[in-house]
Amino acid sequence: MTAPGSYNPLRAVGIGITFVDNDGVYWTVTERDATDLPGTRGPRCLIFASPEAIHRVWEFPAGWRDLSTPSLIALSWAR
Amino acid sequence: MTSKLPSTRTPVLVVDDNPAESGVTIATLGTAGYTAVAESEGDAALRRARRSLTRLLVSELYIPCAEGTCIVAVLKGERARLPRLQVVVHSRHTSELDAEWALAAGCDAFVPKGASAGVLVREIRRLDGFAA
Repeated sequence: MTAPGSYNPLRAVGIGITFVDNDGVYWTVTERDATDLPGTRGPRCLIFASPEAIHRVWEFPAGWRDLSTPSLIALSWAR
Repeated sequence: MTSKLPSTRTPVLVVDDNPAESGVTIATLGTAGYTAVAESEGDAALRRARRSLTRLLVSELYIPCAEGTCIVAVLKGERARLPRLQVVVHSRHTSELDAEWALAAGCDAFVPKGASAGVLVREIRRLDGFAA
């Protein structure tokens, strides 16, 4: 089945970063424009992507790219 | 770490047009103490979500309804009515395009079917307010 409708991919804002969590899982983190998203909770969100899951975090600090790996892991558990 | 008794865990609405796969999802959630009800059709799922003020939804990706091409986008667009709704898209459609489409529809997490059961449970627990 192909995707119905016409949702556009969320535009990336700035560069993404990567980290490896305590279980050895490789994650990429990107900031995305969420302006037109259904149910948006703000202008931007973070998308955490691993080989097994992708999830969204709405509350994050402006300087999230400078966080340590432990802090990024903690942030990835936010909503 | 936050702790909750299993009986206090948020009920989950599972929406899947494949009953066998829906059953697997419900069983997986059950291992983590979550109770779930299932719908297989979009309009019925919308009615149930609105009636019960659903907070946790696990849905296949391309479930159409009379109000749109995807119930995830329809329900996520109802923040006034369903302000606490959290959605995991759990799908057999696993391409990068599918994942991007799910994110653009407003889901809070995307877990492809075929991922280990623990991944789905972890995402549900995160969205239910559990710490790591």
